[in-house]
Amino acid sequence: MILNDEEKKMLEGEYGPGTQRAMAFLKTLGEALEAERMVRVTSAHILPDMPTEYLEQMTEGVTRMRTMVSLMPCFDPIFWREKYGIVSKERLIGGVGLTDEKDYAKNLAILKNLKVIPTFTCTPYTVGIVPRRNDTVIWSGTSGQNAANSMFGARAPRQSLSTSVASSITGLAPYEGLMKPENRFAELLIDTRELDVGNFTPADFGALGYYIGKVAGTRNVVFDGLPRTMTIEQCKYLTSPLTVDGACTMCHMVGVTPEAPTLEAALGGKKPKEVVGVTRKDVQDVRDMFNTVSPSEVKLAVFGCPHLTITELRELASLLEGRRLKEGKQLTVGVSDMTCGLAREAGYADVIEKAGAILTNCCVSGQNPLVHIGGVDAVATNSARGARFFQTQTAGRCRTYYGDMKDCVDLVTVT
Amino acid sequence: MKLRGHTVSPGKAGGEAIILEAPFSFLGELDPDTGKLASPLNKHFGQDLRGKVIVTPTGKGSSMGPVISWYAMKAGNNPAAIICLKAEAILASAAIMAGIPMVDKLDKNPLELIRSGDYVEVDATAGIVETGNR
Repeated sequence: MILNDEEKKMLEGEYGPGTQRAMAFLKTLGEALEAERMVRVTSAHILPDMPTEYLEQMTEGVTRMRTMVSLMPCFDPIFWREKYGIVSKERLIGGVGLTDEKDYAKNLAILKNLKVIPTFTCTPYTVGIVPRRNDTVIWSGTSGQNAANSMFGARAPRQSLSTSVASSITGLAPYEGLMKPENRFAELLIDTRELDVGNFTPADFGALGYYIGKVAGTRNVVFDGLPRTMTIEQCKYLTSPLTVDGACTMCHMVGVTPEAPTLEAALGGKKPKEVVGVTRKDVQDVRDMFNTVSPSEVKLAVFGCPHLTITELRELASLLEGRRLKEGKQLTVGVSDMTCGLAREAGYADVIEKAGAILTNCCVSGQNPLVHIGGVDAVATNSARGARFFQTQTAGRCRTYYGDMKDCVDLVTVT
Repeated sequence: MKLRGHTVSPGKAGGEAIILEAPFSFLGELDPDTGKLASPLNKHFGQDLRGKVIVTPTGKGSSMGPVISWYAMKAGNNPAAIICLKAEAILASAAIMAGIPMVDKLDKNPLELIRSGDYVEVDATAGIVETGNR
C-alpha cells in the first residue's frame, strides 16, 4: 500500500501513539482488502461504548479528530438503571454494552474532549448528518452504511467500528470496496413483479429486505419495480435488514437511489449476474420466522431499530392517543435526542409518554438489556433487523412477534 | 497439504478446524465469555470455537464484530485462526483488532479440502496453510 508523507509520519509515530496505532490498523486492513492507497473521509460515525481500554489506546496522544465524527446510540447504564432498575456487573451476552457506569463516563469524557458530536443515533441522516452524493463516509452501523449508499449515493464501504475509530483519528480510510465507482454497480436483479409492493407495509419491506440480504451475501442488488415515491421510512425498513444475515451494503432502488435513475444505470450497462424472483410466500416465510411467540405472551414492544424518524413518532403518537399500557407490558422507543426534542415541541412525545412508553436515545434492539438480563423473553417489534437481533443475540431465549407499528401497539396497550 | 493465499491479519497459529458453511459474524455468533457458538439458528450452535481454526466463506453482519473479538481476546476465548474464501472488512477488522491470524484467497478451496476436526497450521504472515492427514 502506498502511503504519502503525512500518512508515513502518522505510521512512524510523529503524531503520537494513538494516531500511530490507528494508521497501522488502517494499513494492515488496507492491505488485507488490497487497497492501493488511503483517501480522505468526509465523516465518521462511531460507537461510544467500545471497550474503554481500546479507546484509551487509540486516542493516546490524540488532541483532535481529523474529520467530523458523530456517535451511534449506545448502552447507557445510567438510563437503564434509572428507568428500569437494571444494574449488572456482567457484560450482556454477545459482549456488547458496557454495564460499568465509570467506563461509560470515561468513554464519553474522552469523546467529548475530542469534540465528537453527541448524536447518539444509528440514523445520522435524521439529525442533519446527511451525506451528499460521492461523499466518502466511514460509519459504524451497517444500517447507516446501507442508507448512506442506497438512499444518498454516498460512498460508504462496509466497515467496522474499529475502522471508523481509526478513520476518525486519521481522517483517512483505505480506498476499497464501495468507495470505487466500479464496485458500486448491482450484480443481482431483484424481481418484485410477483409482489404487490405498492401496498407493502413497513413490515413487508422489512421481511423482503431480510430475505434478499440472505440471498445476496456481500453482493450489490438492484430492486426494480419499487414505487418511485418510496419514503425515507420505507427505504429504512427495506435496507436495514440487508446486513443482518447478509452483508449487502449497496442496494439500488430504481428511481430512488441517486445513481440508479434507471435499471441500466444501476447495472452499469451490463446484464445482471443473477435474477432473483421473490414470491409472496418468500416474504411470508420471513414474517413467520420472526413470529415465534403467541401475541398474548408479548411483554415488551420495541420501536426504533433503526431509530425512528419524526414522521414515525407522529404516527406512533396518533396510535397511542387515548391509550395506555396494559398491566405488565412495556413499550420502548429508540430515537435520537434531536428528533425527540422536535417530537416534544410538536406534542408527540408527551402523548407517547402519557401512554406509558419510554423514549430513549439508546440502542433498543441488539443492546437492549431487558431481553438479555431483564427477564423479558417475548418482544413485539416492527423491525425485521431488530427481530433478528433479539433472536440471535439472546441465543434464542427471546421470542419475537413481528408486525407493523399498529399491530405491536395493539398488543401492549388498551384504551 | 500446503495451501498458499493472502495475508488478512498477520500471525501464526494452529488448531483443529471447524467448518462454518455460512458466513460468520463475531457479533451474535461468538459468545466472548465462553468461546462457544452463540446463535441457535446456526447448525453449529453450542460448539466450542475457542482455539479452533474457523474455515468459512466470508464475514457477515454487524459492524460491532471487532468489539466481540476484543472481549473474547481479553478472556482468552477467541478462535486460533480464520481461513476464508474472501475476507470482507468487518471480519478482517475483527481479526486484526484481536490479533487473530487470518488468510483468504487460497490457491485451492479450503471449504472443499479441509474437514472439521483436521489439524491445521496457519502462517498468516506468510499466507500459508498446512493441513494434517485427513
